[in-house]
Amino acid sequence: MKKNMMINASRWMLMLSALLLSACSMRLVSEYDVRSLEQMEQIVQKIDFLYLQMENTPKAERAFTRFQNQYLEVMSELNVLHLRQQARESNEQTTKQVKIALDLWQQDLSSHRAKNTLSDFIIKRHRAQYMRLLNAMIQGEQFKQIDSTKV
Amino acid sequence: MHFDINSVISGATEALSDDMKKEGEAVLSELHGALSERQDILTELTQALETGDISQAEFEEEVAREQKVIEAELLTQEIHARATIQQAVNAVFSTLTSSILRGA
Repeated sequence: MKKNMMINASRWMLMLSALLLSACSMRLVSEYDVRSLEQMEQIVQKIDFLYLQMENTPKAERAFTRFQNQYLEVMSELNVLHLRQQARESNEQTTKQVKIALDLWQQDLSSHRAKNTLSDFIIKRHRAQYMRLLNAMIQGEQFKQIDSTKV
Repeated sequence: MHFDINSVISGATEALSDDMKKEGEAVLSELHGALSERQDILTELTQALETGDISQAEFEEEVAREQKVIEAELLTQEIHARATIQQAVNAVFSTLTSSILRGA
């Protein structure tokens, strides 16, 4: 009788441990966030449109003031995206990616303001760079779905 | 009720190594592609400097920017690797707990 009680107690302990194990899972990256992905897609579209506009404007007419509002709009959206990433748990990599984009954007805004024009070469280069940068962010967010789709 | 912990662990780790191998190869292939593409970009920048499309200062700025963009791209590979490990380890624990609950 005592032996049966001991076996039952061990089984209960085992089941309890299993239930506790199933309740907690390891987290190395943040959970997939569709809102962040949508914000990234919106930003990439705005940046692409701005560079296309600059590319199709004669060099002599590429004054900073002509594009200032669009620069500020993108800056504001990057700031919001950065805040959102900082608030997410286990999200150091995406936060760093957005910070890189934010720093480069600030640098470009200041540089355009100072030079008051942009060369075709720089427009082409920077447009391609932002596409890669935002694409890296988007892909990174999409990889976070691996965990939720397979387990 | 029979519960063979060794067989459960062995099955789970086999599944884990298969998953890790497949995803690990994908990460390495992405990394290789990213780095070889960057070589072309540095060549393009050097040519632009030689032809006078950009000044020495702009060349240096562009190289520094390129490093930042590559860093962001590598962070994506880090996310991929972390998500893969997370999924694999959680799958092992999920298999283990299901087996324990079935066997208990």
